[in-house]
Amino acid sequence: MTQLQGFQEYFIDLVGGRTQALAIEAAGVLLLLVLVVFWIRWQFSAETRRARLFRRRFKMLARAHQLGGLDQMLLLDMVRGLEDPCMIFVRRSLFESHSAASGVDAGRLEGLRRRLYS
Amino acid sequence: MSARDTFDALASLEPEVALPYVEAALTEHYLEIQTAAFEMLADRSRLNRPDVVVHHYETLLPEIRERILAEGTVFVEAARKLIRSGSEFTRRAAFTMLRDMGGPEILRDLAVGLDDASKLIRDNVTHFLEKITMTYHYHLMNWQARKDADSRAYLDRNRAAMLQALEVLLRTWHFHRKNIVLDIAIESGADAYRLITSVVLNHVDSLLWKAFVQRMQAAHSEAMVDILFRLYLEGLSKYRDVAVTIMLLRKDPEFGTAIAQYLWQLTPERAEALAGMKELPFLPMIEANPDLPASAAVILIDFISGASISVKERDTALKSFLRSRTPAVRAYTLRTFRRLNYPHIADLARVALSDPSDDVKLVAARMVAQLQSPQKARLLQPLLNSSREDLCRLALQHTMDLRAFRYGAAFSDQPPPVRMLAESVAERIDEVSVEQVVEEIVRLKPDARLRILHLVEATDVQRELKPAIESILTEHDLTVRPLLVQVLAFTGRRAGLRLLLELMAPEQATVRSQVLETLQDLHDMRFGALFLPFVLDSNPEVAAAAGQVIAAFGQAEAKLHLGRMLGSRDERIRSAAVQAIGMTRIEGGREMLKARMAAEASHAARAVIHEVLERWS
Repeated sequence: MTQLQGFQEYFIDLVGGRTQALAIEAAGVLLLLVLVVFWIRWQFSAETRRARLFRRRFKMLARAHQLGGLDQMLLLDMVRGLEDPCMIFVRRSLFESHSAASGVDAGRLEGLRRRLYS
Repeated sequence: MSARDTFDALASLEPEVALPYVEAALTEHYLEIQTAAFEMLADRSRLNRPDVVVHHYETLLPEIRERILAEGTVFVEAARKLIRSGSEFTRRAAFTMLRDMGGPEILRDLAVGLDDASKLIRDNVTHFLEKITMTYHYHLMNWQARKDADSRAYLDRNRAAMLQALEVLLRTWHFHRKNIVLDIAIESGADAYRLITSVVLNHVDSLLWKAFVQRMQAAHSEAMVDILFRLYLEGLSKYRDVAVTIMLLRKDPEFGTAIAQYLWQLTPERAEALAGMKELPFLPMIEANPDLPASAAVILIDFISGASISVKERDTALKSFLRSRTPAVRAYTLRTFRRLNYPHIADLARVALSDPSDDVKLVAARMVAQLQSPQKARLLQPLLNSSREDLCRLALQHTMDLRAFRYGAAFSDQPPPVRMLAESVAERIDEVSVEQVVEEIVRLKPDARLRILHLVEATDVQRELKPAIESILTEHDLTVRPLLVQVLAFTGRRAGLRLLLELMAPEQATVRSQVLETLQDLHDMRFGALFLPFVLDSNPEVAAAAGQVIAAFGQAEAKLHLGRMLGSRDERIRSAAVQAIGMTRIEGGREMLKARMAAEASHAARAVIHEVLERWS
């Protein structure tokens, strides 16, 4: 408390008056509140929840195929920009169209292809 | 690890969550993925969404399509719903799937698309309908024409479905305008008759009505004929008018063949109904086509001959068949006229005798032979020229009429002893021997046969018969000469036989030798004995010649006849026999006379025997 009072006085001295210091502090608190509101809204939006859902399904499907972290990252990289990354498990055409541009060696791709689609 | 793992994992999700992934997988052209997606959608215990499968039917791989077609029912049910309520894309896919089902059982469903809002679907459906109906029509025709077993099986499987669909297809004809539907209705015959009357001919002169009439003109099956006769006999007057119109319009020979095939298979009840028809509107076709196949023509001839039409119409129609190029048809027509007791049969037969075919000539000749006409022989005479034996034989029978009794009859105006001798000689000659003579004449060459005929035709002995005999005596063909005596005898030409004896006069050495050569060919004493009555001829030269001929060629026969006459109760006969024995000087004749002398009671007869024996010694 003493420290907070000490900071208060230091801040008044810094801005050159109590009134100015209070105004600045009020604006800061207001800004923080706005940021919190935005964060909460983002965290509970439909898109975020859907993305979280997709990510969970992706994890589930990856587990079904016993995919390691690198393979999962490779797949996610392939479907970047696609709303639902799970589609890569049922749409082999996506895999085939992106595998050439992925720069990953053919052996690894073939192994992954066999695991997912054979 | 496999695609199956993905779908097993998806199965654990809520159906509505899993569905987008499975549907997306169904559009992938990779068999493993599409198969797994299809199975999940089709599985009743999992997603159970056949409608989604039908929706994507057009993009599915052939293997999956085959599985859909094999599993059938559940997808057909889904498609049936979708063609009525789905989007255009879905409807199109559903119709395509139904088309691939292929059988007539889906025709009713396909017909729903005929008035679809989408032109593409309407066109597709029309095309699908045509394809399926053409397949059915092919099997229908293949069964009718070739009795193909596979086609029969196909028709058995699909007939009921097709007949059900036919009603819808006929009702929607104005949309698709596919005449193949009418063809199927026509070729289905009695099965489709109700549809034809209730749907096709419902509105007089409609486009469908006109199309039906047109297709009926193009068809040539018995099923078409069945419909025609049903329309004529069973329906309203407007149906009868249609039937009459079609029959009058058709002039093609195939129509005649179709009618014949139909008539051939009629039940007795149906045949009776048709026989009662008071008019036969198809007769113009027969008049226009005298060259129908023989099998068809014969059936039509029988039908027309028994029909209830007027005699004039019947005869005119039957006469058309006399113009047929097939001899069997012309011959059958002639026989039919004879069976019908046609009053002018003689005229028909006379014309037919100059027919190019021997078969027809033979029928005509038999008809002429049965006529009670004095011109019979004259009409049949040209047939002696024929190379065909039965024809020639028939002509011979009626132009020459060789009979053994005619020989005896030729002496009927002679004194009793001569007459008795002739009858006795004739009795020894049986009809079989006469038939053999006829057969020998049949086997002669035509020109030789005509020479024989001249013998028969000749009426004036000196101007006609003599040259005819002389021409045969000088004939190089040795098969003709031996027949001379028999023909003269069996046609009752007594004058001809006598002429032969006259030609044996010693002053005509050449002719005499020709006659003797001819007589040498007789080889049968019964024929040598044909000259026996002439030994009692009033002309001594003829009697002497006859005696010589008998002595040379008929001794044994003469002995038999004269021996019998010697035992006669009539003195004049006995005396004539004695004279004849003296004239022939047959072997053993003298002993016969001596024996008779011992037994003879009549002084006059004894005197004759004595005189003959004196002359002989």
